[in-house]
Amino acid sequence: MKKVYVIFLVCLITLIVSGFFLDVVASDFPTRPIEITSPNAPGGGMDFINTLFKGGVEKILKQPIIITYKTGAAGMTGTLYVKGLKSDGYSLLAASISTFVLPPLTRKTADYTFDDFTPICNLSTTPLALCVKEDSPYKTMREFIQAAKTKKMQYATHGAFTTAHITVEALGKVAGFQPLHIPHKGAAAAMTAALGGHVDLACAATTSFVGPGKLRLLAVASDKRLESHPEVPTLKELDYPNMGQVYYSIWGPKGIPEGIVSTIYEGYVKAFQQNREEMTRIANGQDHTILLLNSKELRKTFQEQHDFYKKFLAEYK
Amino acid sequence: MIDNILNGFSISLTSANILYCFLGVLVGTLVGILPGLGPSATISLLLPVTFYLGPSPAIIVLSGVYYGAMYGGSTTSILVNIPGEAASVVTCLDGYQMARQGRAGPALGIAAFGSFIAGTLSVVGLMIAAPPIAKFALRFGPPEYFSLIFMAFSMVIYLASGSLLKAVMVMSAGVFLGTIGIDFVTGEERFVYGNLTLSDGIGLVPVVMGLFGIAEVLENLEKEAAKITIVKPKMKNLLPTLSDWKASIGPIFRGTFLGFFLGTLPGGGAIMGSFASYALEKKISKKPEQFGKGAIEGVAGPESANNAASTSNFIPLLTLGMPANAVMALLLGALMIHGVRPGPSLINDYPDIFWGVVTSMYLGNIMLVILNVPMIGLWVRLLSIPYRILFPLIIFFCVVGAYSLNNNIWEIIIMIIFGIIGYIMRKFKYEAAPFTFAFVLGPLLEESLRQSLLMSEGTVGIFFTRPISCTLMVIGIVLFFIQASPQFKRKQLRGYIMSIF
Repeated sequence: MKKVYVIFLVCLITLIVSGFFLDVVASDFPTRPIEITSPNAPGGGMDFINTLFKGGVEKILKQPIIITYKTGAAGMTGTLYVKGLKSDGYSLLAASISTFVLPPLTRKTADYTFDDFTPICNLSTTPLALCVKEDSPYKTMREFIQAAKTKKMQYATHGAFTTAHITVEALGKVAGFQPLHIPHKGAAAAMTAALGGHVDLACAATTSFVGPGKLRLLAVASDKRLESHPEVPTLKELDYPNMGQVYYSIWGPKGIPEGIVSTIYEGYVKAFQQNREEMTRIANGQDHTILLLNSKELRKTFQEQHDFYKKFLAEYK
Repeated sequence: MIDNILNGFSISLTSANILYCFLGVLVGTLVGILPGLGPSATISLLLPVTFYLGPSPAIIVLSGVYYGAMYGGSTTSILVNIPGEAASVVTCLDGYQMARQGRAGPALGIAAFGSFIAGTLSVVGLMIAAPPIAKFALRFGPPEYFSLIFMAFSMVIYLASGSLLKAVMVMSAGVFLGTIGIDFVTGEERFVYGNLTLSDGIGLVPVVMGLFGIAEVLENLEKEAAKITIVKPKMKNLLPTLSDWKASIGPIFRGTFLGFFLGTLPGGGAIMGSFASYALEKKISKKPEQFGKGAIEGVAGPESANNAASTSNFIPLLTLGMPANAVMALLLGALMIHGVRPGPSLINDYPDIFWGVVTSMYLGNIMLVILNVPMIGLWVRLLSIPYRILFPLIIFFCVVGAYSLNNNIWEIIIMIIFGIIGYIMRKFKYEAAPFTFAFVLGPLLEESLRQSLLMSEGTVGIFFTRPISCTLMVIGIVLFFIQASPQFKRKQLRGYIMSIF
């Protein structure tokens, strides 16, 4: 009788102890669905790029990926929510420069820094578009800046202390003009203001309004020229601060084991490789340039962006 | 043009798209009926599902949800005084009173038919006039918006059935509460006190559910409601009578007109439409004192206005790629996910989508009328449930609805707080409708004011140097003085007489 109990006990203990190791073994990850929390409302650029990758990554990792939305407070609600979750790799955060880098620099209630999170991988970047009305007298960015030195230009962006706002102010500082910021609610509102002639320039993260009968694109805030508008220069080429592009990435709560981080990263890389042409085409259609960066590169990029913005915000304030 | 319409119908009349349209309006109606849960939450849930459909079916389903919710929202407004959306607030004013008088059937009927007429007419308007209207709407910059909302504020005083002073007080409180949140110009947090929920501002839905729904329940309970039912079942009069129709036909057409044009302006379009319609009907009515006590014009006009507006809300989206409100922003996203680039050239680049969606709106409106009218009998019988069973259900749905918005318990707390405030307001005869109007439009007023002043670098003259803005401002100022003058004259007269002695 006693032997049976001993064997039973040993088996039980073995099972329990091995349970502790299950989560830590990276090669078994993932064994259940992964949840990505998006701090932006569904239907925006963040949603778009995550949905684009979702199908492919699910096939590679063989687990469903669920995107949930925790919107509010310019992205802080969702970000703070993930900060407090378990670091087992099953709860991730979709983060962009706007929700991740800017709030801690501009708001008191943004109670987080990079060190509270584990960088996992970057998905894409989108540029900022600087546009004027089609019948505007300024045909190039240089012409606009030249005129801006004497005439006080009004520009619309999608909000105060957004990437667009800071970028144009930085541009003004470096180029030597003092523009007047008219904040609007959303990129479309900003572009429409330019379309209606209520402001001189609009700067926001959308090129849908560029084209005949609409707006003229003067410059883009991006590392490389856009495929859809190859004749438009980047701010970098014009020797202006290369800032403003938005990076969309995946992070997780602090302390996710390296093995799991690379598994997730590899998942995204493979998903892209398998469907490269189609994904690139769809992404470019919405001005997303797919840019897969691994954990270290992502951290470095975000740190650079953070320092950029910090520097200009300090001068601006 | 006819080619386009025929092409559109060939797309929307496929059996798949008819089914999608039906599913959309069905879900929309259900969602509109449930307090709290609104079309935006539903559309965000459905968005990933529609990913597997093409762009046209996806938009057909989602837009069906949106205007279906407008139909459904009026049902709860009339039956239990809980507005499904901000635009349905006005329907509560007279619709609920009609229900209390045993006329829930006619109220629901007029709301359904009025919405149908308005919806159909505005789809026609959309088809014919979308691009030119959009072009005109482009001329509305911040100063024009300010003047428009200012004019609306002047008109809102007509909403007040009671004391003018109290209405103004309550509106000021509404404007103040609307400032809570993150200031969009400076990024400063106002009255947030470090609370993450408040940094988005006090949500409209919890406030409205509290002020109208919960407060109503509290007030009823006070009157030994455990023993009463809301209305004695008068099963005969389920549909509007001929005289109801005669009274309503004017408001329906005027409401459609108002709602259609105001809905093309991004921002408070639908809300302004229904409030403006109510104010207009009250002003031109021969019996204005009936408003607030169950005047059917007060239901017909605003309901038509908000349905017309929910259709014309699509105009800025489809012609400019500019979402007029949160729901349109979701639809924008849906288009983006399908690789469609919304923007000023959508009609030309994607005629199938535009005409397919527009023609399916016709079908949607027809489906909605067929869905809603037979259900009127069902809804009216709901009212004859003893109140002691009904009110816990109402509170239950309100609480679930408030939580379902953002999974945030704070919103339930806000709703309860406003329920108590609403109850106290009623005791002291302060009205909730002007408060709601000011709460919703106050932030927009402020936004356009500050943008305008930024543009003019401080001079107020900007409102008068621009033609559209000047016209609207003048109308607003004149309206304001017209209403102030009766009181004014009386006081003047009294003062004059006193001075003689």
